[in-house]
Amino acid sequence: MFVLLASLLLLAMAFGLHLALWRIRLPKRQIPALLCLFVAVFCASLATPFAWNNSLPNILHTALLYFSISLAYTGIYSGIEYDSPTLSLMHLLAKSGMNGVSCDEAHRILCERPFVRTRLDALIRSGLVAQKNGRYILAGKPSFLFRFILEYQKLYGPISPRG
Amino acid sequence: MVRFLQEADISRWLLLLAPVLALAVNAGVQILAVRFQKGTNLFLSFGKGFLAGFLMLVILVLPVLAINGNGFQDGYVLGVLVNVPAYMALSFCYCNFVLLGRTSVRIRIYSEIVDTPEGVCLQDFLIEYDERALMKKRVERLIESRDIIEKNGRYYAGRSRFVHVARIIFLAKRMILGRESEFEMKNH
Repeated sequence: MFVLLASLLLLAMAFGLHLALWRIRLPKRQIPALLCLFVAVFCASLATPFAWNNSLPNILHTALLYFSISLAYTGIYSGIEYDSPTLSLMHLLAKSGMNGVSCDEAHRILCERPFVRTRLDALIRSGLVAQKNGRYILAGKPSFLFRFILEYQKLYGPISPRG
Repeated sequence: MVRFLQEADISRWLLLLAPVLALAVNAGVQILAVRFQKGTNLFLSFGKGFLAGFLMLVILVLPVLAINGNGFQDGYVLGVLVNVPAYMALSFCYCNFVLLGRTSVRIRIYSEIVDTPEGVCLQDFLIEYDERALMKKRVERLIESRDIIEKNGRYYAGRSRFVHVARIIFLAKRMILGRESEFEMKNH
């Protein structure tokens, strides 16, 4: 029971802090800040007597459930932070109900959202890319995480056409 | 005194590792399904991988629950109430990880910058990632999957799956970010 209750309590604390802190001031780099928050909450819990008086498997099991749900939420969070073209369109259609939306209006509204430029800005903010003489260049060494994601794709074959 | 150094029950460690081992089976089956089974699309492969991993989880957990007499309640809580959500969350993370590489515009843009030492100018990106072409392709896919219905020059919501997801996401945006779109001016 300890593992389940501890995980739920830690998740509740982390989400509560997340909502409170985000309302006070939105971090510049939201996903790294969110990950740091989840790690900090767990690390702080290790300093309590509840952790000292528990077995290693219990602590690790708590970490497994806590971090798996935290990472799942972080994966969803990028859909909250950035606009998904699909969900933006579906939200628009849901609001319009039986009236629908004209094809031209739907395309116009979506094209008004500069998805490519915001992604470039996000890469610059995260320090992965820099702008020099009007061109976007790599800042420092290629990100290990991005490289890993791309290399993993080779297991599946060619990526489908853009969109 | 910290008790963790004294824990040596192998069944306890097996319960701990079960979701991770199940995820490994999930990933392996999913990759094999895409590579070697004709007619398997990516989402179908996720389903196959998830089921295979879940079966592995059951195979690992059931014997522990059966053997663990006195501690049955704890075993049940760990084996079912902890491990099943952990496995589902890990599977979800894995799906996201795989889909990132296939659909994330940001990752593709980054990959092009990495492959071009002299840098890429914005115009090249806007030509290559033509916003209109991107949108057109997305809409075509949604029409094909019947998530959108096109009739007499207008679009209507079709299947409700993305509508429900959109409602939840936009509610979360309002609650957490105080706005519905990253392009809106923030008011807080």
